[in-house]
Amino acid sequence: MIHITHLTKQFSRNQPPAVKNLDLEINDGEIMGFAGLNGAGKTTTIRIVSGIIFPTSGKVLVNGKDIVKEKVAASKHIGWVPELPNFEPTGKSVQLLKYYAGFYGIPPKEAEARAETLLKKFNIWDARRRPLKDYSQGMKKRFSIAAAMMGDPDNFLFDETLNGLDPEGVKNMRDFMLSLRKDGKAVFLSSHILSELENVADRIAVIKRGEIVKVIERSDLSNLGEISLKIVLQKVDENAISMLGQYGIPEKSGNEIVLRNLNIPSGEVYKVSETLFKAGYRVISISTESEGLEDYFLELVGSGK
Amino acid sequence: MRDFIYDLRRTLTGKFTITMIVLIVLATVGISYAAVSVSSVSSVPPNSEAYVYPAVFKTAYGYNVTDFVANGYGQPVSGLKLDSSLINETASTQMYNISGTTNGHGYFNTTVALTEGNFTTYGYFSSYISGINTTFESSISILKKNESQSGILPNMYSWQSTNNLSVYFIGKVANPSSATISGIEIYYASANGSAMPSGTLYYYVQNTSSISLPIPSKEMLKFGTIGGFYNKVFTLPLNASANEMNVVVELFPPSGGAQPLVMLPSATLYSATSSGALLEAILQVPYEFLIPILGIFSAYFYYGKDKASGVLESIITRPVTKGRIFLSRFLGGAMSFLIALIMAEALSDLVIYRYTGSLLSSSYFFSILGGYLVEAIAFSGLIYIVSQFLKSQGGILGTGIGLFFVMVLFWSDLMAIILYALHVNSAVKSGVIMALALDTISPSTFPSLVIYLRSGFYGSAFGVGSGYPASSVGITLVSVILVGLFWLFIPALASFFLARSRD
Repeated sequence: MIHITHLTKQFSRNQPPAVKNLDLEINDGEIMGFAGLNGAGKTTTIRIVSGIIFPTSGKVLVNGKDIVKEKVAASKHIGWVPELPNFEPTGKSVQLLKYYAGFYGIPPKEAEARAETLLKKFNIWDARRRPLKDYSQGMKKRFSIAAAMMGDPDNFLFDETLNGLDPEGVKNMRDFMLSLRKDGKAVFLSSHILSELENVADRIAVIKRGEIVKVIERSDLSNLGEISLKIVLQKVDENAISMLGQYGIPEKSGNEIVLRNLNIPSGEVYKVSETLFKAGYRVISISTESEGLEDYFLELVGSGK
Repeated sequence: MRDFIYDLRRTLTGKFTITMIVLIVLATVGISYAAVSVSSVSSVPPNSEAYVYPAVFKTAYGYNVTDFVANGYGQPVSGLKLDSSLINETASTQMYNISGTTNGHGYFNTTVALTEGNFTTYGYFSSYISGINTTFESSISILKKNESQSGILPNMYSWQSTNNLSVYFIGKVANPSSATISGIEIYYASANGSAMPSGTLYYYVQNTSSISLPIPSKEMLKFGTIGGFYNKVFTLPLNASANEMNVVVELFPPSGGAQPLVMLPSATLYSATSSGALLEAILQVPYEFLIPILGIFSAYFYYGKDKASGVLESIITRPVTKGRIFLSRFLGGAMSFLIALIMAEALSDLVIYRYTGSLLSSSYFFSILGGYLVEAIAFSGLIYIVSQFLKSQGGILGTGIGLFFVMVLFWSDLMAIILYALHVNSAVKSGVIMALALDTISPSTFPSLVIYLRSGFYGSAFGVGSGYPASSVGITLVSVILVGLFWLFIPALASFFLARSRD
């Protein structure tokens, strides 16, 4: 579990804080998505939680341990997977994982066995004799996950980890994160790929200019923002459009009409089909559509908002 | 602390550490070997030199020639080809050429049946040496093994008895087991082939311009009665009191008469150069460049490179603090230098011991170690500070190389310019103190400061003016320790503080 309270980070007095009074809680067995535009403060937040940089104020507790005051104890429960992993370029995978394992007090033999298991799991065991500088970006990311798992932490921080991965890589990563959730781990996932957040996250925190503007629950994802009605008729004419004007603002596109700004409750949508039917129009389909996460996100973080 | 000890152990066993230790040790031992294995007098080691001790006796049937050849240690040289001539100086065109090879005992003996003419000089080509009369060789050349050149041992003096039947030589030779004490070789040859009659060997350490007469006087030290040999090497019981002194050696007839048979005047038989002074001098030039550059590179490879590239972040997210990672890397680097310098000094000491017969004194050992260790750690510390501010590997390395140029290569020039600009006269004592104070701004000058303290003497920093007693210009144990502590701790603490507090 990660508990972030009133977190603020100001890099320079001349600039606004990168993160401002941020509160967030990532529970065990939960995937918390973290969405925001570039420079919104996602990476800064994750770097503070991982212990790389210090907060200006506020507190981050990892399994109840303060990441600043109890760094060693807190870091035992953190696995960090960066967007662009940087490892010793000439290092070899097993040797480096063994080195990391030493910080967790894992004996060399056990570390070697664990390294082998993880490298096989992430399909980079065959490359173990190659220096890391020769790895592809995808291989480096997989190695990075293996490195994060060396200490078997309870909490994982993924910072734009999905960037640069091919579709198979994205799927594997999604499956991996779901398996972590299943194992009761807390996952904090920052990503630009909102559809992926939508797929895996239990909650999505939206950050704008260093502040959390909304935490979207999974149950709300299907019902975000304004509802519209999509009607497909066999034949669309001006009369049909005129008739639909009483329920909202119709927009014609081929034999489709999208009815926005509905002035009837979602439970009374049947009245629209009834009206069309009575007027002799053949309705092929009628469906409600809510605003997508992307639209909702842009609405939240867009300029001027 | 487990995380700190763990990373420290890894730093100490890392590739860079091992490479650096091997480099320092090999470079130091190699330089020491190259420096001490070549004699300062000759370009070849003493056992490859050859010197001729000639003796020619005129008999009723002609001339008996006896040449003894010894190397720089006074040991016989066999198989050496000799070309010489008997010369009639009253008729310069009259020469009789002789050629031969020394036997297993270093001798070449021949009889020349010349009953006409008066051959007074026995010459080795253009060099002349007494053998018949008292013609003296003034120019000295070195005769190398298997070469037919002429030569005579440096500091060799001869005397022949008045009846022309015997000749004595006494010369200075190197000591194969000690470069500090030289030996003396006494050679005797006679027309009838007898061994040297008994004589009394005296020596005198010349700390005054002349000795009292009659000789042997009470100032002279008696070595003992010697005789019964043809050639023999002696080592006088000299000690450090003979440092840089001239030692006069004289061999008196057994009767104890006032006239010495043969003497070796004004020869330095005891060298002031100790193992420590030798190593200190040997290391001064190469270490001036090697230590700062390794200090800079070690900080870059242990810390700066990883910090700038982001590699350090992948470590900091582990159960370890920034401060402990910093300390493990910094102390690992410092310990690597300590290990490298101790090993380098110890092995060089053994190499030098083979030639000098003495080991480093503790004062030399610790002054060399302390001076260069502080310098290395100080340059490392400066790069650790630079690493806190610069975000690129090239920037850190470039700054390090820039520091090397400014604080090592051009430091004395820079200081000279500053002193000139400040109108400081470094020929006077106050100017010297000012120059010294400015000089200590660079850690590259710390080893010299330690040398000044150890020797008790400070030479002018910029070659202007004469030297001063070290303490008179502020070089005391306290001031040197303070400067050393400053360079050891201030850059390290400053960078440690920045490493912990800066993102």
